[in-house]
Amino acid sequence: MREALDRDLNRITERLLRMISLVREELQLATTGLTEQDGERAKAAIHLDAQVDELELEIENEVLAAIARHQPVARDLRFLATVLKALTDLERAGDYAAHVAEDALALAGEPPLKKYIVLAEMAERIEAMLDLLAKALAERDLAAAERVLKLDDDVDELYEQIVRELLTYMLEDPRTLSKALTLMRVARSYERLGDHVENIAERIFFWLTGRLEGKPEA
Amino acid sequence: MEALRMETENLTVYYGKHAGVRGVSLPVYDRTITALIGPSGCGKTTFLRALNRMHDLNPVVRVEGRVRLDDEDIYAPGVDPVVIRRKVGMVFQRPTPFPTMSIFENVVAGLRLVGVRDRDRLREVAERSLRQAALWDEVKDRLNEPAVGLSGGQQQRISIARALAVEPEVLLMDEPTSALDPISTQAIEDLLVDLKEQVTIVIVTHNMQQAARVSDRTAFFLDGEMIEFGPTEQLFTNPTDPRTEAYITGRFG
Repeated sequence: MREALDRDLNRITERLLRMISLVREELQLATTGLTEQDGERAKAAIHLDAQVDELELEIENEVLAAIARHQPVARDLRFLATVLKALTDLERAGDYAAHVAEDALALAGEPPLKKYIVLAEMAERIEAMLDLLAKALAERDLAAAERVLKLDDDVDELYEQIVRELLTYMLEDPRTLSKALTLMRVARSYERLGDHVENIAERIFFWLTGRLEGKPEA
Repeated sequence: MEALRMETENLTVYYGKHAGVRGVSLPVYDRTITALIGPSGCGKTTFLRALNRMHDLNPVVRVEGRVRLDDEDIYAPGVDPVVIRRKVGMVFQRPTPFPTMSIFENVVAGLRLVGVRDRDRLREVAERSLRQAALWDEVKDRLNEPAVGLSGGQQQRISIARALAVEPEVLLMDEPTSALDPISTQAIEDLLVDLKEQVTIVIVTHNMQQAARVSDRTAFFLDGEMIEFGPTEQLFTNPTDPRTEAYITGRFG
C-alpha cells in the first residue's frame, strides 16, 4: 500500500506545482496588463483565475481521498495537512492577482500616472517567491522555503515605499487622487499576495521539520 | 503528569541464549492506555508477558532487569506470581471462554479460583464486570447459557469481564481485536477508552490505527529494543527516530 500512497502523494505534488505555476502566470499577465496598459492580458489573467479555483477543488478532493484511503501519519500526514492549508492560500493569492488584473483593466484606457517601476518590482519578487516555493515543494528544499520568507520582507518594504510615493502624488496634485487610490489598492493586492505565499512557505517548513514556528499572517 | 503505576527498568528477556527483548525501560502511567507497536518478532508480546510473570511458566525463558508495580519489584524473591497475575490481568488475542462453562461461570472463574463461594457476592461481581465490559445488557437474560454460544466479539468481552472480575490494577492485552470483525473491534476500542477510568491498560497491537485511536502513549519496538516512546499524538505526527517514521509510514523493509 505504500506504493499506492506514494503514487497519490506524487500526483498531489504535481497538481499543486501546476497550481503554483498557474498563479505565477496569472500574476505575470496581470502585471504586464498593468505596466503595458494591455487590457487583453489583464482579461487573460482573470480568465486564468477560474482555472486556479477549479484546481483548488480538485486537489482538495484528492487530498481527502488520500486521507480516507491511506490514513497517513507522520511526514505523510504533515504533507497532506500542508497541502490543504496551502490550497486556501494559493487560491487567495490567485484572487489578489485577479484584483490586480481588474484594476489594470480599469487603468488601461487612461494615461498612466507614472511608470510603474516599484509595482513591477513587487511582482518580480513575488514571482521569485513562487519559484522558490515550487522548488521547496518539489525537492523538499528547506533553504528555498526560508528564502521565500526573506523575500516577503522585501515585498513589504517595497509596499511601504510605494505608499509614501503615492501619498506624495495625492498631496501635490489632488487630480491624481482617483488613479493614485487605485494604484494604492494594486500595491495592497501585491502585498497581500506575498503574505499568502509566505504562509505556504511556513507550512512547508512545518511539513519538512515537524515544527510550527510563528503565527502565519493572514 | 500522571502517577506511575508500573515501570520496567533495563528489562531483558532471554529465550535460551537469545535476547528477545533488550534493555527496555518503560514507564506505565496510572489509568492511561499504553500501546506497544512494532513489526512481527520485535519483542512486544515477549515484553508484555514479562509484565505479569507469564514467562515463569516457560523454563527456557529468563528475565533480567526490574519490573515494578506500585514500587514493588514483581520478580523479587518471595513475591507470589499468582498475586501478581491477579493485580496484572491479561487478555489474549483470541477469546478464551471455558467451553464447558456458562457465561456466568466464565466471568467468576477467577474468583472461584481464589476461594470466593458466596453466591450473592459472585452475582454482584459478575454483573459489575459484565457492565464494565459493556456486555451486561446483551447477556443478562441468559447468564446460564454456554459462553461458547456467543459471537466472537461477545466472547472477547467475556474474556475482558473475567479479567476485570478480580479487580486488577493493570490489564495487559495482546492484540485483543485481531480475531474480530470491524464492528466488534470498534466495540472493544470504545470499551478500552471507558475502562481506563478504572484500570491501567497496556495493549499490544498490530494495527497502528488502533494504537493511534485508543492510546495515550505509544512505544515502538524493533528487533527487541524500544526505539521510541512518547505521547501517541506526537509519535504519529512527528516521530523523533527515523526508524519509527519508516515503520509507521509503511516504508519499512
